[in-house]
Amino acid sequence: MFCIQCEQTIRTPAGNGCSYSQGMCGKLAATSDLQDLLIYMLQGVSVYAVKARELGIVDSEVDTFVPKAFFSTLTNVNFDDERIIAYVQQAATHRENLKTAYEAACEKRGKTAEQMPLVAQLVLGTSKLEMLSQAPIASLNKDKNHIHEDILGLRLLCLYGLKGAAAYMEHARVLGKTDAEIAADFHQIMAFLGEPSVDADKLFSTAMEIGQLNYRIMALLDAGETEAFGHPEPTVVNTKPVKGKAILVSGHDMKDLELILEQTAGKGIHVYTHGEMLPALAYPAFKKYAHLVGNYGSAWQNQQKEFANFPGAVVMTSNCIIDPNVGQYSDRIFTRSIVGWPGVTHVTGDDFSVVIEKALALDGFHYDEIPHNITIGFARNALMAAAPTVVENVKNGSIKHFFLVGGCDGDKSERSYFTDLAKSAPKDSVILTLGCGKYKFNKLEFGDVNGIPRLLDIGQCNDAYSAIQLAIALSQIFECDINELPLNLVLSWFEQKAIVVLLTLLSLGVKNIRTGPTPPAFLTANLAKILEEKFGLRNTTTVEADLKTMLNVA
Amino acid sequence: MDTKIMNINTLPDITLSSTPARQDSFSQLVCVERWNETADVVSFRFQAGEPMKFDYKPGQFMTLVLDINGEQACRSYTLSSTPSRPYSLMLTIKRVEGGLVSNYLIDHLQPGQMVRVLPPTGQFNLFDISAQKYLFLSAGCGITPMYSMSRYLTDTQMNADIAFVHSARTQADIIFKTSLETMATRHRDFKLRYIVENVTTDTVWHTEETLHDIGCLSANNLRDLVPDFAERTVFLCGPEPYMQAVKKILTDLNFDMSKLYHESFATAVKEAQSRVKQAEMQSTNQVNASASFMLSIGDKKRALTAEQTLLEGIEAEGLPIIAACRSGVCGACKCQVLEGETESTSSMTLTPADIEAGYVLACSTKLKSDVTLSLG
Repeated sequence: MFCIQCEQTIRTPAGNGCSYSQGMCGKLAATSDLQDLLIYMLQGVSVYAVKARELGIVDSEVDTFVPKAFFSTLTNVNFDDERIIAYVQQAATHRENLKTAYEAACEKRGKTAEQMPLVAQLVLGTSKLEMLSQAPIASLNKDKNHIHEDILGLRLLCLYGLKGAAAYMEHARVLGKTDAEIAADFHQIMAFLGEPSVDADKLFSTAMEIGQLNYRIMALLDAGETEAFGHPEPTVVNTKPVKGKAILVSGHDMKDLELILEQTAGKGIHVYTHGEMLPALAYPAFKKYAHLVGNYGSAWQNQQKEFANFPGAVVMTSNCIIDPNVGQYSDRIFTRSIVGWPGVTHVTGDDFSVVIEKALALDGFHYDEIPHNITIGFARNALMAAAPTVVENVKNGSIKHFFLVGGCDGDKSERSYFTDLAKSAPKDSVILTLGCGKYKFNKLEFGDVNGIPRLLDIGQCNDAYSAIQLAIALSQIFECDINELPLNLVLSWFEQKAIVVLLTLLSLGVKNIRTGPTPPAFLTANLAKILEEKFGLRNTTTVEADLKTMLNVA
Repeated sequence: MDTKIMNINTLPDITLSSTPARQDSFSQLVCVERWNETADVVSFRFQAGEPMKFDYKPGQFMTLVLDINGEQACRSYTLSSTPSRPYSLMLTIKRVEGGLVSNYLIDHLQPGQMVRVLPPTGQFNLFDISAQKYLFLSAGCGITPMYSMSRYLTDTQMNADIAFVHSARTQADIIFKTSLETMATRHRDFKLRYIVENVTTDTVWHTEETLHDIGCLSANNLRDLVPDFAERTVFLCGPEPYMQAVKKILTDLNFDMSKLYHESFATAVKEAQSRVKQAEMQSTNQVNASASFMLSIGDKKRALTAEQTLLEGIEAEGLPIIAACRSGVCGACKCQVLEGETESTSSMTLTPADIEAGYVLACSTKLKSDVTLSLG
């Protein structure tokens, strides 16, 4: 195996990346190899999708399948070999179907079918063993001895960025939002990455294209969410359990949350959000469910303790799942969509009876805990509504700085940086946050500036779209460039969604972003230097030093 | 100071059943009732999920482990209940200016809600201190252990000889006033006296005139109120200035100080505060430059100076540890030294077997060499 896509990957003086029998996330070498093969096959599908499109053939099933299956290879999503194999086989079928359609269209037009690149030609083995024996051809670093390490770094930056974008495409699709142009551009980049490039400039511009593409995808997802559930509004949320039977819904897919709420109504079950599902509580559509009682727990990396302590059923609608056997709750956790763990019940379709039965059979919480309320729901509309007041406070000097602190959470102790930064931010500053990185400080008290809460929770990581809209609006009001606003971005990254959000910000020309706690292991020192020179992108240092610079600069 | 320290080898344990597999080591108690004792003092009664008897010693304290605004906070409170009425536990808590935990409990904890606790412990208790005749001296909220002991003695012995002198700011600030007066009425050898600093005119003074004095406890009024004080074993609890004043009075009266026992918890809290402050100052000043020893816990490593405690290192690494009193009193931060040399200022709750096995209290232990530690 060779996997270097997340923050916890192995780093040694001899080289970075998980390359032994198991990744740091718990993914076994075989699963990782099968995922490489899946990506390779999907790139082959995209090659044909691009060529077929040129002849007017668009297969919407393929357009949704490729990003969805690609999503299954994201960190902490699917650890189940059988499911990955099924995706690989479906990819082979889709590719062959497209190939047939493409060749038929060529024939019809009296045109010779083009010779396709190797990535679109693999004859897939029929058994798992055969597939594993084919994996080396799909290995991400197979030509590392023949290329400069910066080229590998750029390829990975693109691949992992596109993977994050694919995840957001799937989230949007679940909400009924697809876009043929986005799909076309996605296939184009996917196909390009299937033919390993050694052109640094082309790879770099592709990374920027991925950022731009993702901006459109986030807009699509934003439309999907707000059209389905309304615009988030500031909402007070209890983060402690209440007495009663319980279901915990984690991940990003609010459609699943809606189905679960409908099906649990009147059954004496309380439903809680977890992790990235927390922002759902601010959407108007969910407020009619009195049995949606609040949020439980914190970010993904604490789930082995928090789920173990949760006396009900748990549903993982998307990333991030980690080994449920550690906390001995594999019999009461359920996976959905692209998520998988061997031996864990996977729920397909819209019927959650199995989850409800499990929750009813379990004890539930015996008591209330002392409530602890936090306020969330400062997405696009709420921020825009508050903009005039914010502007007034900026003009009269009450608010001097804005920080956007967010991204993914993780378990490295260095991540206390984000807690300390939020705590140390001056009282005349407002902190915007998003993603699960917020759990590093979202239960602390920050107070307000003339009625404007100092901590504004925008939502999920993809709600970076809302933050961008606010920044654009403020830059228009103040008639300045986004980079001239008294706004500092400090992003915590763990996996590929954070990578693509970063690419989006860079592609929009946002400069001087800080990322932490450690730089991605696939970014070489050279690449990091180039990104710093070009975008002012830099790694976090100490809270004290960073704050000093940020406040002076701002 | 001639205060005896008793060694307790076995700690009473609270265990609850029927809760689903929980990984944390705390017990859960449900608040079943709360009421005001005075304007700024609230009592909370707790029970287990199912009826069970709690086993502890009158005078001991219990540690609450709370999550306040996203941060863990642990505080120890003396149980004001008595094990002679074993089906519930009671804490009596005073609102204090700037008091994070006490005020949080008073403002938020309601009947029906659950709290996490560590088992009762503490050496200032009726069972581990032997006495024939008792003199309870308390002030303010320091009344809680005395109340627990008084209830236990009056519940279990008909002729316990108790003199109880309690000091309060005003009549209205006397906690447990009615119950204490009932005890004093029913038990011939229970002598109750109050000393109040100020008599307020707007308070109706129901207590018989003979029960109270005005002013502060002094050698004179102690001699007057409890003429046989020299024959008694003194139990003392209250704010630090009060405790110091009483110790001086007793010394002046040539009291045999080996018969004075005081709740060191108040001192512990004070020390804890100064220690937390020290730790905060150290972290802001980045004193790590002078680090000389390496603390290893699992795969975590942290350089510590000879002046820093194990606890500071453990907390700086973000590892799970409960440090309730931070002064070597409560025993919550017990951990095991696997390798290396340390120096401890307290081993109060540790058994000889614990000490033999390398257990130390993290809050009271500093490094004398590189150390490998286990929190398990």
